[in-house]
Amino acid sequence: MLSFVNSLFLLGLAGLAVPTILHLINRELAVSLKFPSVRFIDRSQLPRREKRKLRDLLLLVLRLLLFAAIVLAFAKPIWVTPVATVAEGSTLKQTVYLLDASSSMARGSNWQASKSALLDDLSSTRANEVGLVVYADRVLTQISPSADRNALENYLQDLEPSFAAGNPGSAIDTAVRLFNPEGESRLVVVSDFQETDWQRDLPGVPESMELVFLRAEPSEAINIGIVNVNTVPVGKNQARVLVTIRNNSGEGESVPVTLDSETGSEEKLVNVAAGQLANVTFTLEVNEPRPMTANLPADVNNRDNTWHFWIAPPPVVRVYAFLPNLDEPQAANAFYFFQTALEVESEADWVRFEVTALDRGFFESTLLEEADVVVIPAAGAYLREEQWGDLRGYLEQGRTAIMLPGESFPSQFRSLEKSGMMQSRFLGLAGNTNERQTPYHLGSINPSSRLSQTFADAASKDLMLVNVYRYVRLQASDQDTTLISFENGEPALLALAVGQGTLYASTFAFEPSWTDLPLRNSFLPLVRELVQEGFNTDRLRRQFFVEETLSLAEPVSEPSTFERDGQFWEVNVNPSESVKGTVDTDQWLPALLSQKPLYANAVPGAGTLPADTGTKVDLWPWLLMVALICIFLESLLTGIKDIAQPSPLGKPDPV
Amino acid sequence: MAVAYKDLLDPAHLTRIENYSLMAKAAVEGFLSGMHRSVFHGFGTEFLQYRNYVPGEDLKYLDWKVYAKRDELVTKVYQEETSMNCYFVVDASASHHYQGDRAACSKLRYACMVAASLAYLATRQGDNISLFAYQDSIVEALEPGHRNGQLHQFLQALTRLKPEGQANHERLLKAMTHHMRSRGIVVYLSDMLEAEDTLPRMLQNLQFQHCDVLALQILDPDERDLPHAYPVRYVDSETDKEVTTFADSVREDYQRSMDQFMGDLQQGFRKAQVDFKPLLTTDHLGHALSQYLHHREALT
Repeated sequence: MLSFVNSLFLLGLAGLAVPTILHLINRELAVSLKFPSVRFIDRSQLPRREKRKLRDLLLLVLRLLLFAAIVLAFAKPIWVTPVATVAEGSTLKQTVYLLDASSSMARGSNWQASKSALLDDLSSTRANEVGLVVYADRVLTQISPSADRNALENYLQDLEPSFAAGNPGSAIDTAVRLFNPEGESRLVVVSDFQETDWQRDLPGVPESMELVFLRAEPSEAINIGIVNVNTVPVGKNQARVLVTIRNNSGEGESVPVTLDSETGSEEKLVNVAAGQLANVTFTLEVNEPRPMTANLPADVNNRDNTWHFWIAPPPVVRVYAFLPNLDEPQAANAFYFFQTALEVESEADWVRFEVTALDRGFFESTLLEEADVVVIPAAGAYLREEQWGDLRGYLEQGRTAIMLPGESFPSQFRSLEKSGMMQSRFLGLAGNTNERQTPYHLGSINPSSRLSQTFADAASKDLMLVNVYRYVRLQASDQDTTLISFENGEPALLALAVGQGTLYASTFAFEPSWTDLPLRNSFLPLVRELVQEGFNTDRLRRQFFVEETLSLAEPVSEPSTFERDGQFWEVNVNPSESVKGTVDTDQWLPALLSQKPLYANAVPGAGTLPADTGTKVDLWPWLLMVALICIFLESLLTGIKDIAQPSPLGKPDPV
Repeated sequence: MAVAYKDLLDPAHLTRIENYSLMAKAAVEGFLSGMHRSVFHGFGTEFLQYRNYVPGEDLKYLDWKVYAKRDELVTKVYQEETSMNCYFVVDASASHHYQGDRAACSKLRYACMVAASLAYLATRQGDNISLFAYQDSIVEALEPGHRNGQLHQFLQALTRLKPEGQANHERLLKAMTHHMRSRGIVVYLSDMLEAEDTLPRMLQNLQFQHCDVLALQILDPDERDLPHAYPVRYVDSETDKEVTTFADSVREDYQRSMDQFMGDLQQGFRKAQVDFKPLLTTDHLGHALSQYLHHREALT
């Protein structure tokens, strides 16, 4: 096998066109010459110069050869001799069938046609031994080559295509390893050669192996499939369902899309142009999670006509606020602003907040377990020592708490220091309520926090204009993350890592005697982002395709919806299986399969590739020798030419 | 390494000297130094005295009449005369632009080198020199004179010449006839192409004006043998007429026609009693110089 080390040099071969064109042009042109008088010069036929023509042609060929040899030598060609794989005179002939059982094979009559073609080949093959590899996204079955053809026929009889997408890479690898290297090998690939399956990184097959492709011809009939279904909550009791369909056929169609569930069904008609996507939207009442299916009418490929999904009300994030003394106006104000900000409904948010106030008696570990987020507004000083312990335990499980200072801020921050949750040092108070003329301003947001994305560019201007009349001064430690700091660099909002959870500690209360923040536009996004900062919204809903690897007790082999451990799972057929395009099995695929390192020495079952794939011979010295011979012959020929035309005015050689 | 006499007159050598004055001096002095002093006489035409013959002197200077009367050998001695006019006529038409691969210079350059050398020689002998250069009309004209600046003006005029246009021999010779007022010698330099029927007759007319005419034909070697070995589109320098041909095929016919042309020219000049000397641009200038000297001497 020929390969090149510097294959880019091969572009230089384009230069061969230059001498050829010069040769063709120059031969036909007479040189123009100003002469004193043309009175005695007769017109003549242009010369009959067969000998010269031949010589010119020879010269041209020699020079082209010389140029090509030099260019090729620079490209450093290497001849790799594959290690002989078939023993001389071997009589062992093996055929292995590689059968595609991906979901796309269920389309129309693909499956039956493919099985028939395989069985026809099986009955006519001259092989002594036959084997089978059935694959979808992985190898489903492998039958090692043997003389028992009936085993294959029996196995194929009831075989149906899976719902999984196709990935032939590992199957080719498996099939190649099934062959005995001592025998003649023939690999028959039976597939629809769908481009989404075959345009992957494929392993190579040995050059000596005969490759046969049995293609299931795609049906031209109409096929419209569902590509995706998305649900978005709208308010408390409604959800919007967005169904995306694709027309995989050559003509535009108008199809009804039906949503079915146990409680009823709803249908909408949608037009979808050829090869295009179309969306249809439904708005449904949702009171509790329920499984649904989106359906299309039957067509040539029924597997993409149904999509299983869950529809559920927006997940509730439970926020528990610790309010030991509702008579304390600052704590009441802070709670009010906090509650209002969280309970504002927004279509853009995927979650719904439920804020509950707890008094001192309810702040205990059993109740805390139900909370997604705990807020302690201006009430840190009311926590007893064991309650600090409960809070710490709650946080260490990976939960989130938000703490705001109140009038008794010194004991609150000292308790934080004492409990080891805060590494920063409490320094005292900056500013007081009587000096409102000189408010403090926020200066910067930590660029690695989610807040910096929410308050990017123009959105940060309002936050930076917030007036803070007083705040608790802290000497920031490296172990505590400062999310927002004042203009003077002192921390305004800290993220304290406690176990796997986070405690957000503000150095000023969200209350009018401390700041005008609750009256500003920034307040609502700031509070909602803080609550969601440590809250993983992905855990609420998951989508999967058939045969994707899940850490579940039993595998899922068919499209379905199910609930496990409070998670709603949706499993569907990969829409890539509906794509109609196929790869070229005449040129492209054989070339692709043979370009990788050969498995020539692979021992069946050994599973390792040979380090040495054959002997390599550098060809460039030979090319240089060819170039030298060309130079010698060229000068010889030019010499003969000069002798033949002794005129001192001999024109430069037109070649 | 000493420069040989023949090298001094080689156009390949002389053409490297840009300045015509230096070139002419080098050529003429080189030429003269190669001659035997004793046989060189002045070109004066006025008799001065007799003196006894010394063996070895040229017999043509013997006064045979005296020998017949008094039976003694005496030689005539002449006094030099400086009033002879020497007219140089240079054809600067476009056909003189040609320079083949074998020639060191173009035909016009060669003609100018010859004219410069002869003019230098003539000035050295005290003759008046005059120049007419023409194409389809006269492009340079210099009245005869022998003052110090005359040669300089002559050479400057040669320097200005550029080969252009078609040669109109008839117009030139008519104009010259008006200018020539005294006897002298006319040195005519041209390739004489396509004028073999008319030129000898026209130059003969000058002889009727008591002028002696020396016709020097300047050709490039290529014009004699058409050596090109590849297809050529020949474009006539003066008429722009084009002929595309392969020289190998037509060379024999061409040479035959050229020989015929040269033969006709020679015959025409012989009939007209005009001295004619064909020169190739590869020929030594000595040919032209000796031809001139012989010619000049014959006038005495």
